[in-house]
This record gives sequence, C-alpha cells and structure tokens, in this order.
Amino acid sequence: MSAAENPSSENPRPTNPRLAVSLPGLELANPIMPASGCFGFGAEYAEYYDLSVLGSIMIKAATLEPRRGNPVVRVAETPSGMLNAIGLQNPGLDAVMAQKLPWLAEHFPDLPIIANVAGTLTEDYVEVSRVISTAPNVAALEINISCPNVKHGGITFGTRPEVAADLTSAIVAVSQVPVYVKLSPNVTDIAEIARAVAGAGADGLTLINTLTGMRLDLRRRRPIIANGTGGLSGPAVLPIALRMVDAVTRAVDIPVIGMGGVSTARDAIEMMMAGASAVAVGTANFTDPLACPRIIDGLEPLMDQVGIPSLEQLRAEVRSDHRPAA
Amino acid sequence: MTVPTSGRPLRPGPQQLELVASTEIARGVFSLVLRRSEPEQAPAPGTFLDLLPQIPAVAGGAAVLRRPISIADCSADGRDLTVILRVVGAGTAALVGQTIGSPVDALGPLGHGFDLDAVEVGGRALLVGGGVGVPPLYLLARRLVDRGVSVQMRLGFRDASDVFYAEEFARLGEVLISTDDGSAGVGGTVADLASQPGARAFVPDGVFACGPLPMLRYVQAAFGAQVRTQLSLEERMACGVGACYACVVPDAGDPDHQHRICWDGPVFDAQEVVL
Repeated sequence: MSAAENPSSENPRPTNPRLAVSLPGLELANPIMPASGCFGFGAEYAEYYDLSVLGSIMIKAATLEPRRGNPVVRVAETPSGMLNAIGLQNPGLDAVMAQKLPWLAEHFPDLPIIANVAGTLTEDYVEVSRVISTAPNVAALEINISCPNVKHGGITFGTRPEVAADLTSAIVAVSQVPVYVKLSPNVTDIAEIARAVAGAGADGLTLINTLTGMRLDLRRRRPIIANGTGGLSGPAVLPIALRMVDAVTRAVDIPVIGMGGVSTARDAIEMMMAGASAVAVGTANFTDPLACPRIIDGLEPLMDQVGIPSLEQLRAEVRSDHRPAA
Repeated sequence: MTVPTSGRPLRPGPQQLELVASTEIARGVFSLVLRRSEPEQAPAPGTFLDLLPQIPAVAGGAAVLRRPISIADCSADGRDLTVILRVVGAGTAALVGQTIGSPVDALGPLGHGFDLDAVEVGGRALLVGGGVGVPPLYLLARRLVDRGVSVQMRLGFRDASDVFYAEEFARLGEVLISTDDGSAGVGGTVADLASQPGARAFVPDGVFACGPLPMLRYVQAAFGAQVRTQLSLEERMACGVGACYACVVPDAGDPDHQHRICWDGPVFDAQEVVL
C-alpha cells in the first residue's frame, strides 16, 4: 500500500515533486532511506527526529526464529569505514509482526517500510516473505542474499546466479508486495547475479551489501572481530558501490536502490547519477544520528547548483544513457 | 514536526563542546574538560559521551565511529563535563591531543546510569573500579555522598604510575587501592582488598562497579546474590544509540535475548547479565 492510499493519515506528508521518486510498491516522498541493519526498527532514531521525513526505512533483517547473533567483538574501525559482524541478531518474525511493524504503523502511518528478509534455508526465506509481506505498512521486501556474517544462508544464496534466481522466484510467488533483492559485492561479476535475479522476477535490486574484510589486534595477534571477518562499510566503499550500481543498471532494466558509503547529499546525488533510483544510508547514521535528515535537506540546494530540475528527470536521463533504445 | 513518539523532547544530535582542559593524570590517562554552550541538566552518573575523534590522515584518517567515554565529573552548573580516557589508539590519541579551545564533536550524554536509590539515605555503598573503569565512580561517589550515603572505594590499577583520583576519592570516603605489582596499595587485584581491615568492617547496602570483565565477574560473584549490585559494562560500539546491536551482553533471564549495552545500559543489575 502506498503512503497516498493510507486512510488513517492525519498529517499527510508534504510532497515535494522535485524529490519524489516512484518505484515498484514505493511512492517515496524523497529517495533517502536508512539501510537495513543500521537503523534497528526505527524506535531509537525516533528519539532524535521525526522519521516521517524519510523516504522509507529498510528495517533490520527478520528471520523465522529469533537470533542471538555473533559473539562480541562485533565492530571494528577501518580507515574511513568500519567492519561489522552482528550476525543478524533479531527478535524473529513473530515479534517483528506483533511489535516492531505495528509500532512504526502507529507512529508513522504514512511511512512505507521495506522489510528485510533473511534466512538459512529457502523455506525460511519463503515463509518470512509470505508473512511479512502481509503487514499493512510493508510496501516492499528486500531479500538479503548477501549477508557475509552468517555461516549458512545469506551470502551463499547471493554468489551463484542460479541459486539466487531460484530463491527469488520462490519468494516472488508468495509475496504480496514487490520484491527487491539485495546483492553482494563479494562476487566476480555482480551484473551476472543481477541479470539472474531480474530474470527470476525481482521487481528491483538493492546494492551493495558490505565487502568482506578483516582487521587484527596486534596484542592478541588475532582478528579484532570475534567472527574473524566482518563486512566493510562507510565512505571507503562508496567508489566500489558507485561502480557496481553503474554496472548493474547498464545490465538490467529493473530499478536499483543504491547504497554503500553514502554520507552526504553529494554522495546521494552521485549515486543517482551512477544509476540508482533511490539511495540508502547506512554507516553514516552511526557517525551522526541525524545523517538522513541532513542529507535530505541538502538535496535541493545541491540540485539547484548542478542543474537538476527533479530527481525523476535525473533518473530518466541516466536511464536513457545507461540503456539507450535499440 | 510530529510529537516525538516517546512523549519526551527530541534528543539533540551531535554538539560541538569546547575543550577547556586536557591533563595527563596518570601514565597515558588523560582528563578532558568539555564545556557545553550553556548550562544544562547534570548527567546521571554512569552515562557516557560518544566522542568523534579527528584522526589525522597519517594516523588513519577520518573516523566513522565515535568513542564512548564515561562521564567522570560535572560542574555545579552542569556546563563542564569531565571525561577520563586512556590513549589506546589513533582515536583516543587524537582526542587528548586536540588544541585547548577547539571543538570536540560529542553525542550525549547517552545510556542509563547507576540507580542511586539502590542505597537508602544513611546507608553504605561500596564502589569497585578498575583502571579506566574508575572514572564514572567519581561522579557517582559525589552524588551518593550528597545524598547522605557513606561510600568506600576499592580501586585496582596496574601499577603506581596508573593510579589516578586517589586524593579526590579520599575526600568522599575510604579508599583502598590495589596494584597488580604492589607498587601502590595492596599487591593483587580488588578481590585481594576484601581481606583488608577497612573492607571487612564495611558491610555494603549496595555495590557499584565498573572495570575490566574479570573484575566485574568477581564483583558479580562476590556480591550479586547478597546485595543490590550494579555493574557498568563496556564494549566496542558503533551507533551508541541502540540501533546497530554491536555492543550486546547476554540476558540472564532470556536465552534468546541480549541487552544492548549502549541503550539498555551501560549499567545493569548484576543478576540481569551473563558475563
């Protein structure tokens, strides 16, 4: 259900046609949304600002059963970035359906939510997708086939095109809302995975998830992260994300939500110029809890400076450049 | 702007605090005084500031993660906050090396601090600290003494050059010190202080602790079952506001659940957590 159709809205969100973006299942007031895993289920950041200013929220991954996640240490700093290996800690599908999503619906009735889905087996993904896609405020799914930090599932679905395609079609068959698949950068050719997933019926793609990395503790002579490796994110990965969004949007015709190291309005516009239709913000939320509203506020002044009449117009221009008519 | 969901005012984002003093108070341990732009409510003992260091390019470059540092003291008008930190890497080195008068990017105070009501007026509170876990106990001790609670401090350090705030604490109550090598106080750990006459004569109505994990485990085991015992935990954090689930500790009451140290804590009842 799009925000415009929500009958319970008392404060309809102000729509600015310059910033609005229309994607499968998602009528976004602006293209900026917090990335999954970097924003919990919203309640904590609601202490800092009115979440209804956001385009959407990609909520933390839900799995069928509650997950405790990995042992600590779970994060480490890297030059202009960080590693994390949280391990998909979440309260499980039932709690997300009974508590987390209703809380968002109650407080931010007009805000479309993108529900991130994770699992170990295909059946887990399918069941979580089937159920969570029925929540009234879930406007789209984001299928996490790219988590580098769990031993089973996650990235094992995201590195082989045929496996990713099979999972995608199984989820598309049961979901009540459009399905976006979150791609891993830890592959030789991300465009190949993108083509397979698009061919299986995905409505859109989100990329990039984190890059697998490592740091070591000199005194212990062991990895800092208890999991050994972790996912690299933050400004350090922005150029990689831009390159991959460019490659994928030249390879497939479904929309891409771009993410990876975006911390400023400039980064967000750059991501859209690389081909993204909307932009997710992850690590920047940790440095500054107000990162998303700051980026949103910075869009229009920057668009004025560089001559962008509207983001839809920018999308159309980039798209015709990336996929010229035959 | 809609009404905040909690019904409370929205929290402020990062603030630029003025660094008004930076002093090395023990080997590699610095006290920073950070001035808020105007007088504000004093922070609760046990809460922390999340500081963003300005790391030079030659030392690694721009940091994305803040450094959670406990608040050690606060001026009477609530404007000046003292934090004490040990230099352990490029971030902490950058923080203590900032020019006096320059701005420090700070989020907070964050977290839930110590519950002072755990000890009634006229009661006795035992404060156990180790190393850079000692600082939050100072503001706590001040507040407890203000309430009419008598305090005893048992503080552990590596050696004599690591000891700080002994005189400041001594103005508030009895201070027992241990060092790993015996170069100050009693040789050993804070556990070895329990046999001291002063410790044996002090039967606490509440225990408050902050320090390394082995010390917290000792305090949890030695006092947790007998008397209300509060432990302040530390862990590497990313967001500092409960969203990223980096800093967790297992919930003693629910095997499926882990507390977030930054948001649910950093102070927990000893019986709430598995250490």
